[in-house]
Formats: sequence, structure tokens, C-alpha cells
Amino acid sequence: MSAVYKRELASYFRSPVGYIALALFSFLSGFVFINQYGDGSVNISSEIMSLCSFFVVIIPVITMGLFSEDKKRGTEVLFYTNPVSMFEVVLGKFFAALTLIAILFLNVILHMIITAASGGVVNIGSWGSVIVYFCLAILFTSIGILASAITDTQIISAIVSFVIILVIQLLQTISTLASSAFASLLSSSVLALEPEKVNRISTNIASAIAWLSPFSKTQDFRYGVFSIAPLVFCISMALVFLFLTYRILEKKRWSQN
Amino acid sequence: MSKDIKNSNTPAKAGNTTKKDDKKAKVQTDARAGKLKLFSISSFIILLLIVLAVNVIFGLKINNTSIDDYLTYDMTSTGQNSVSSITVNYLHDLPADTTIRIVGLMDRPTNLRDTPYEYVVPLLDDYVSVSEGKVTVEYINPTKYPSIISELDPNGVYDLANATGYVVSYNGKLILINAVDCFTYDNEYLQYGYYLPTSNIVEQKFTSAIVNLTQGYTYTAYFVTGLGEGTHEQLSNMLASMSIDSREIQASDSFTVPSDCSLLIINGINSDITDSMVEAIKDYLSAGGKMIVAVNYYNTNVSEIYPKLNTLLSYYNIRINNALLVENNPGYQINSDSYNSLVDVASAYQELAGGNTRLRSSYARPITEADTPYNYIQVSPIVATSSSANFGIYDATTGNIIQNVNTASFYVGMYSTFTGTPTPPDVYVFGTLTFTSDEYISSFGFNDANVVFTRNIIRNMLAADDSVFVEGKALSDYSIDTAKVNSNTVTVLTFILVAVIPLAFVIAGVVVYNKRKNL
Repeated sequence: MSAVYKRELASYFRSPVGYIALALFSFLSGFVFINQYGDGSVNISSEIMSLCSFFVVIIPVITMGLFSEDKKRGTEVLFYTNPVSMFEVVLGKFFAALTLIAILFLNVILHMIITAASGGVVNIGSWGSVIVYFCLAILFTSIGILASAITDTQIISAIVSFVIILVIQLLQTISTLASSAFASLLSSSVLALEPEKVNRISTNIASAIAWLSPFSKTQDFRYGVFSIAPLVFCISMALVFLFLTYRILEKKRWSQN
Repeated sequence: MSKDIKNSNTPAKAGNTTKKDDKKAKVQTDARAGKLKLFSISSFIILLLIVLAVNVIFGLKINNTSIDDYLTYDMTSTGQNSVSSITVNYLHDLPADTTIRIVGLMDRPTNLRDTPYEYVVPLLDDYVSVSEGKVTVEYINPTKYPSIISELDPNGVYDLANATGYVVSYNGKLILINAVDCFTYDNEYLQYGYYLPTSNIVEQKFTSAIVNLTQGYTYTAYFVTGLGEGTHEQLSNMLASMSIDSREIQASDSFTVPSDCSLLIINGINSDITDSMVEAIKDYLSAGGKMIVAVNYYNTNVSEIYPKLNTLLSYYNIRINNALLVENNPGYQINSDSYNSLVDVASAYQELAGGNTRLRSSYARPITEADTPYNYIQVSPIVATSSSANFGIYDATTGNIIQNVNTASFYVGMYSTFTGTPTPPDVYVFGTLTFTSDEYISSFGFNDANVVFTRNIIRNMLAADDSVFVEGKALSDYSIDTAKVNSNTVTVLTFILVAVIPLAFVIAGVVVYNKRKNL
């Protein structure tokens, strides 16, 4: 796994991908930070949470080539012929991408240092946001890897992961819309359910959709409230996506198509 | 699996297999692929189900408490998002069958960021966690569930149809709490229409509501209104947390003090009381009544000499003077302002001031004895200026304060009672509003020494139980030190963070691309 990890991490810096991600992230984080700094009040938690919303762009850029590039070049055959488990390959690439995301985060560390040196506050909420950043990074990176594994085109891979991450970011809004849609449907003349029953059903549907949102689960971290369940959710869901990636890649060993 | 692979390769190795053998091998390969496909799909589904089950179990509520509640930790130094041991102990001592229902008249807020709910929602969740099933929190939007209004308030007493925020309900009794009222705000900013929270009193509000619903109010305080006074919302909050209900009583010529009045508060009035009020309040105090009077010397009342109020106070040998105290001792001045200063607390009152020997005073009037020659009146100073203070009077023609040249120590607060009577009055008079005004409490919070002093005075007067009083929690101040940061620093940092660093990475990317594009 370490060989795959080293190779993937090095490949980020042997191609422009790593530098583009770094440039993009440092610009966005710098812009968000300086906006607060110029106003004389810096809340690192707010900055980190804003940056998490940029994952929708950054994660696809980082993960789009992880498997699709190998497929395109035909080098993926090495993973099947070498005496290494495919799951280790997946993990090696996953950790390489995660390491790059951690390197991007050095920008925020720099901002924390500047804030502290300027007499500002880096409190427990800031560290809570750091945990959220990495939890979401783990989850979204696993989604990006899955997207990369199902196609041999980087652009398609990037679009797929962009859409999935975007949908996850909008789950709260989607839950509200779904609630309204179901309420309209259930109260229509065809079904004509009682209003309270309609509301109860539509609220439960909204809650079920919102339950899937990692953003709502982790939002208390930035206020200094740490909870185990959101971490378990993000990591376990990431595990599901990584396992699915592994199964998709393994399919080639036995698939007759 | 290796056996299957071996078997499936055998026909290929042989090279001269018959059609029958080919067909047999294909069947074997299909079977193996089918098994692997089944294994692949089922293993994924099993993992997904396990993951979902684990996550559902974490959030599953049994007796209103989930595993997640037990595994949630408030790491803030001030415990912003968790209830204090005061509340926990109170809830623990309530009977096991107690049911306190907190209903948010809204959908559960999901985007808490930079809203008042960021301190309310997590804290209410913690109430549920620590209450041993005695507190439930629900979010029910009345527009979706109109029946909740009649369910909570069957008699329509509280006008819930137009209410927003939270309803705390216990045995048919309700207290409404609005999220924006769960904070104190900086008064300076409020004047310009900005709400800058200074402290979080969410727990104070909800715990006092629970205490007052489960115990009932012990006392009733009346605020005299209609005399140009300011608001008394924060002082009412403080009283509520001591199980003292707050009501208003309008100044008029037919003024009477209600029979259930435990404490009369004349706070920040800008015009004088009426003759009938003098008599009514005097009668009330004669029967062992308690009163707090606080006025200051500011733009709106510089010409008010309060003759009738002073007539009333003269029965208690106290007088409010029409002058502005000027503190000349720099050691007492606050920010070199002679009108905003510290005042010494008389030794008898230092315990009530939480051990503080000095408190804040602002735009104060001198309080003196009224030379009422009765021995049964016992007057004592509470707070006083330094010996270097003098006083001045506003000159309306020039707009200046004309100062008296003589310096001395002046009293800013005095207390009066009677001896030798079974029902002695308790009269506290302050020449400043730094003990009672909303502006002061909002700006400095409930932990401020002046505010603590006021609370202790009231507790002393009424023997009120404030053992369930929850202090306000200071909010994080994210301001950076303006002494260390100027516009040049911001410009340089903007240049470095937004231009130099990203450009450096772009250049590095271009260089790497150019060097490696032909490899």
C-alpha cells in the first residue's frame, strides 16, 4: 500500500494537478481569511466551514485521475498482476489524496498563526472545525475515488463526483423541497389525506433526507460541541464508498463483459 | 476460488478440447462469475446495512436520550452549549414523573451558523440529555400543525398564534421565550441598530422558566412606568431567575400599590412622581414594603429635581440632589472620564458586592441625608466617590457643566430602614443607573460586579432563593488587536495570501508541466 501511496502522492507534484489544487485552495482560503481580517474580526471556524463548501470543486480536481488515468493509460493492469490486494491499492490512492488535502490545509494553519499573532482567537470551536474539515474530506474523497473508478475519463469522473458532492451539500435544501413536494402530492384530491397526517409524513420524509447530510450532523463542532456519532457517520460512509470502489475494481477479475 | 481458477484454466491449457469440454468449461466459468458477482453485491449490501444500522443506533432515542447524547461533549471553556451543574441538580431533584415540554414553534433550525439558534438548539438538546426524561424538546411549526396552538394553550391566554420562539410548558402553565431575548446586547451598538451580543443567557432563561413553572413565583416586583423611564427587560430576566415575577404599574393620580407587591422599583425615571404616588408608596413602605429607586443625571433629566420623589424619600431621610458628580481622582476615573468612575463600596456592603471594594458609577447624582430628625430612621451609605470628587450643574444657556470648587466624598447610593417597628421598610436609593438599567446589564452582562451586587441586594431584601440562578456565559470575541494590525498589514497580507502564494503554485505547476510534458 505504501508503494501505491508514495507513487500517487508524488504524481500529484509531477503533474500540474497538485499545484492547481494548491493554488486554488490558497487563493480561496486567503480570500475568505483576508475578508474577515480586514474587518478586524477573524473566526477561523467560519473560514474552515466556508472552505468545506469549496470541496465540491477541489475534491473532483484531486480525485478525478486516481483510477481513470490508469485506465486510460492501460497501467491499471499492473494492479491486477502485482501481488498486492486491490483494497490496498484503493487505500493507497485514498490516503495519497487525503494527504494532499492535508497539505492544502497548511494554508489555514498559516491563517491561524497570523490570527493568534494579531491578538485574535483560535478557540476550541476552530479545532472542532478542523475535525469537520477532515471528516468531510474523508467522505468526499471516497466519493471522488468511486467516481474515478467507474470511468476511464477524468472529466466524467470529475463531473460525477462534483454532482454527488453537490447533492450532498444541498441535502438540507432538497429535504425541504421534498417535504413540500410530498405535502402537495399527499394533500392532492387523489389521496386527500388529513392535513396533520400529510404534514407528519412530509416532515418525516424531510428528516430522513436531512439525516443523510454530513454538514448538519457536524455543524455543532464549530461551536465546540464534539460528538462521536458524526465522526462515525462520515468514516463509516467513506468505508462504504471505498468498499464499493474496491468491488467495482475487483469486478474486472471475474466479469465477462 | 483457486480450485475454480485451476479448473477454468484447464481447458485452455489442453488446447485440444472438444466442444463438450468447452461448453462444460463455460458453464463452470459462468457459475464462478455468478458466485463472485453474488458475493460482491451481497458483501456490499451487508456492509451498507451494518453501517446504516450502526448510525441509526447512535441516534435512536430511548427515553428521549440517545447514545449520541451520551457521546457528545461540550469542549468550550464557558460551557456555552451544555447546561451547568445548577440546572442538572435542579432537574435531578424534580420528581421522576415531572414532564416539562419545550416546544419550538418552528421547524427545527438546520442552518444555525451566525444565528441566535446556534446557542439555543445545542443547549436544548443537552437539557434533554441531562434531564433523566423530565424535559422534552420538540420543534412543531404551527403553520403545518395548527393544532399545536390549542394543544399548548387551550384557553387562548398566551396568543400563541402570533408567537415565535419557544414555549416552555408544565402542567398547563406556559412561559414564552424568544431566541433573540436569550442574549444581552452591547448598548452602544444597539443605538445604531446593530445587535452585538455580549453574553449568552440561554440557560438562564430556560432554567428560570423551568424553575418558575415547577415552583411558581415566590414574589412579585412592580416596575413604576409612565415617567419616561427606560426598559427593564434585563432586570426582569434577573428577577425571573430568582422566582420573582415582574409586572408594571402605571404612574397616575390614582396610583395604588398592589397588595401582592413584594418589591417596588422606580428605575431610571425622567419625570417626577405624582402626589398620590407619594402617599401610596409611603403607606406601602410603612407596612414593611421594599423599594429600590435609581435615577441618574443625564441629558433627559438634567432639569428634573424630583421634588415629590424627594418628599417621599425625606420620610426615610434620603435626598436625591440635582447635580452631576465629577470624579477628579484619576485612579477612580474609568478611561480618564470624570463622569464615569469607580465608587467605593461601604464595608458593610462589600460581601453583597461579591468581595469587590469598588463598583462602577456613571453620570451620577449625589445622594445625601435629608436631615429628617427622627432617631428611628437608620440611614447608611452604600457606595461613595473618592474624596477628590465635586459636583456640577448643567447650565442650559452655555451647555456646560458648572462645577463646584469644593472637593469631598459624595454618596452615590444609600439605604434606609426604621428601627423599633415590627414592619420596617427597606429603601435603597441610587444616584446612578449602573446597578439597574437595561443598558448597563446588556453591556456588561449578568456576571458584572454591579449586577451581582443588585441581585444580592434583592435577594437580601426578599429572602429570595437564587440558588438556581445561572450566570450569563461570555461569548467569544473574535476581534483582532487593532494595535497590532493596521491598514498596511492588511494590504501586505492581502497581497501575500491572495496573490503571491497562489501565483507561486501556478508558476510551479506550469514549470512542472513544461518539464514533464514530453516524458
